Amino acid sequence: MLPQERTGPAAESLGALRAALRDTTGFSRLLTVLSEDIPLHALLDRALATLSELFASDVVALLEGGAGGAFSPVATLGLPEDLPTWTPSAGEGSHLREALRTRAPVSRVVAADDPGMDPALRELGLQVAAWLPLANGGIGDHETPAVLMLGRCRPVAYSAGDLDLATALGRQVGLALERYRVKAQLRRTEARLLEAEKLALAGRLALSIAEDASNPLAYLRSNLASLRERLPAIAAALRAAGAAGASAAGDLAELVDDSLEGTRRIGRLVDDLRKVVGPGTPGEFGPVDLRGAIAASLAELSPAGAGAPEVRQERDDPPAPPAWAPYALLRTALTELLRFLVAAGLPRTCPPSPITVRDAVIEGRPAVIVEDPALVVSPEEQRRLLDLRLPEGPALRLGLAAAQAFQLLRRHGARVSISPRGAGGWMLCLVLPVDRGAGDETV
Amino acid sequence: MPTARLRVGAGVSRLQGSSQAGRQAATSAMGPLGDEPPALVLVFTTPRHDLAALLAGVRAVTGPALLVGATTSGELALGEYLGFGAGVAVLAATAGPYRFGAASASFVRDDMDRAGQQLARTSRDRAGPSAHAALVLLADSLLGDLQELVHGTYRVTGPRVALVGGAAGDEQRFLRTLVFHGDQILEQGAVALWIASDLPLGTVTRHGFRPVGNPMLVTRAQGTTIMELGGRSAAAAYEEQLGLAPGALPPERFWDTSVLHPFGLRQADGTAVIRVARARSAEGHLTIQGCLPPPGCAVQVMTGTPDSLLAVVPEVAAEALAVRPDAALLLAFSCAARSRILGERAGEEPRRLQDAAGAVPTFGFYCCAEFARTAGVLGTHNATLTALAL
Repeated sequence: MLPQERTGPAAESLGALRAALRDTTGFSRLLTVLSEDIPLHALLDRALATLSELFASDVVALLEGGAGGAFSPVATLGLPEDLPTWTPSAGEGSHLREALRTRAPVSRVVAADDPGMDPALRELGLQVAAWLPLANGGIGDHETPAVLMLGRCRPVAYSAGDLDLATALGRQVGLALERYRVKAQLRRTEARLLEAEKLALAGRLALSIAEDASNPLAYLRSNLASLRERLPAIAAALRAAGAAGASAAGDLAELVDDSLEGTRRIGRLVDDLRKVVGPGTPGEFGPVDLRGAIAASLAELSPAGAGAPEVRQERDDPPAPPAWAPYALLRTALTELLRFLVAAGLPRTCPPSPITVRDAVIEGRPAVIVEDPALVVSPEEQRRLLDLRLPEGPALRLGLAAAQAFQLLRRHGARVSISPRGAGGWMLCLVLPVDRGAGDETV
Repeated sequence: MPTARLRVGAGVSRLQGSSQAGRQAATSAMGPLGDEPPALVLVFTTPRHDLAALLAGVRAVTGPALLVGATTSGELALGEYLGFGAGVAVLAATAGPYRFGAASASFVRDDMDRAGQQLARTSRDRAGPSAHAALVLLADSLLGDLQELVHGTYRVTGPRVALVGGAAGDEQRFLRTLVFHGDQILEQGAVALWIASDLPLGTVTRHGFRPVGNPMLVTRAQGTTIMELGGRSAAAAYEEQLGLAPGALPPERFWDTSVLHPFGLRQADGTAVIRVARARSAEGHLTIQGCLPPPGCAVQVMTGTPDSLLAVVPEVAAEALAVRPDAALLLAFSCAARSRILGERAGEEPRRLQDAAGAVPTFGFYCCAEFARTAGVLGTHNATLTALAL
């Protein structure tokens, strides 16, 4: 037999129980949705649809604060697609701002003469709207303020119970969003770690190749040099042997010179590899005194030849704060860069202007600035300068060691920019992280 | 926007020949329009007809006017109930103060949300811009969770556009249901009719069921199937609420009982949205028609009688006509489950509806899920009577 509907005194208790049940099932429904392993946009979509249903709301919006006190929707439900882009009213006097200031839900009838009302809500045909500040004024534990907005097209006000429950559920949505963002950050960090491990493996492989190639290459260079020394005698002997020998002798010098140049270039690559990935190159991050690193790099620089520009360290006060970087990597990058500048672009203006290198602070981060007033670098050359690939055709290009060092520094959050100087020449800025978390991977 | 009064005519036919039935119903429908050509033709028919011949017969009379329609589980027109068998009902309407636009799509099962968006967008664009609008949505009832389709349309329309309509039927065999657009018969499809208006349009919905028993939590569900209620077999929990022993409702007799005692999904305002379980599996899973109570929600077994279901009919007509007091048509979408509960009294529902509407013609069909969005995004119902006055 079917149970009969309760009447009389029992009905009141039953009503209270139903309200409690509504609250409980509201939570259970939302938590069921939020526990699904689906993309963020789908998760928010379902969460807002659930809130729409639970609170009979035609419009639901999760709003997040941004720069200058503006708010923008993170997710919405019920906004028609032909509505122009919605920027919620969040100025002083707006109901959204009132909810944030009082840290309490604000529910209002959507009246035409209400100056705090968002005009877009009237256009949507809403008759009642509520703004619910999420806990701690932000999404999850995040500092960014966030508000859940609910709206009804029917003139049925939200009850206090509705607003309390919706606030609690909105906070759950905010926490889910925060968790998702943290997870996404974790995935990116893991991907970077994996990439770093691959690089380390490639480095070890490159080092073993460099070590193995080093000795045979030395024999080859030595033998070729020896051959080159004896070449005049060999050529004379060939010419003496007749016309055919004379013809062979003519090409021999060029062939040996090309081979020697090839071995020299391979030798430079091998040296670069050993510098970057060889033993004694600490990959560990730590606080680095930039001024000291610059001085050490300058000291390591080979004496400049005739006509080479002076490389000068300039000192500003106060010095840049310690950067968070692998010291050896930074040293390699600076030394090779300065070596490149001294060698590249010769002959320079006469007398050559000095190249300056100094530590500085850019946007609160420690930086090294290198300025060369004489060298002209085209945009195409700028692009190639830090390119790890072997160049095609004539182009300015740093050595492999410097380019790889810059790449690694960038991967760990440094910013590298090359730009023309207003007074001529060009300038390189290397902006370093102040700690592990300050990296800007989008550079 | 045109300001002329809407003129409508409705006709029915019980002829067995499909082409002749189409012609006969359409000819009757065209009568009240006089010399004015129709701007819209609605066709609701039993699935037993040769549908291509039927539509050709209708269009031979109505010409190239915009046509949308569906197979049904019964039609209603001018107070008449056409039960299962050979009935066809045709409505012809001038544009009056409205502009119409339609769009359709086949094989939309895989992404109904996107299909809903596309249908709403295209039909709106074809009708043109307006201050107010309504969307009449017709869909294959066997697509799955039809709320996804509704949700898709809502992304485009927002809350200012009234949504009404129903899922096509096949006289409750649940094998194949079809919708029409022009002379096209669409498999696994949906069709949307956008009605652009200068004045507000509103949807009304009522069912007449009341809750009994205890609320139960849906703890496991997938697609349109509830597997568990309160952590137990859904069928066993359902039977317990009805005071029956476990297994007392075998699959072959389940529908006879479940149609009388659907689930109610409690809403914020204390009302309930109805969900009818139309089948149970041997494993104790319950299949809901067209839409699912989502996991985590509470459902309550409801009960209704012919009298309680019929009692809401005048309310629906009165409330719908209150939105448009100068209406010339009351579009109504009832549920096949209601006609099953009403049994021999099934004819009373359309009759009462017409009585309540007075001189305003009533027209619609018996669906296998009704569309009506009145608050929030939820707009899919079972065992419910919905209406829109034009």
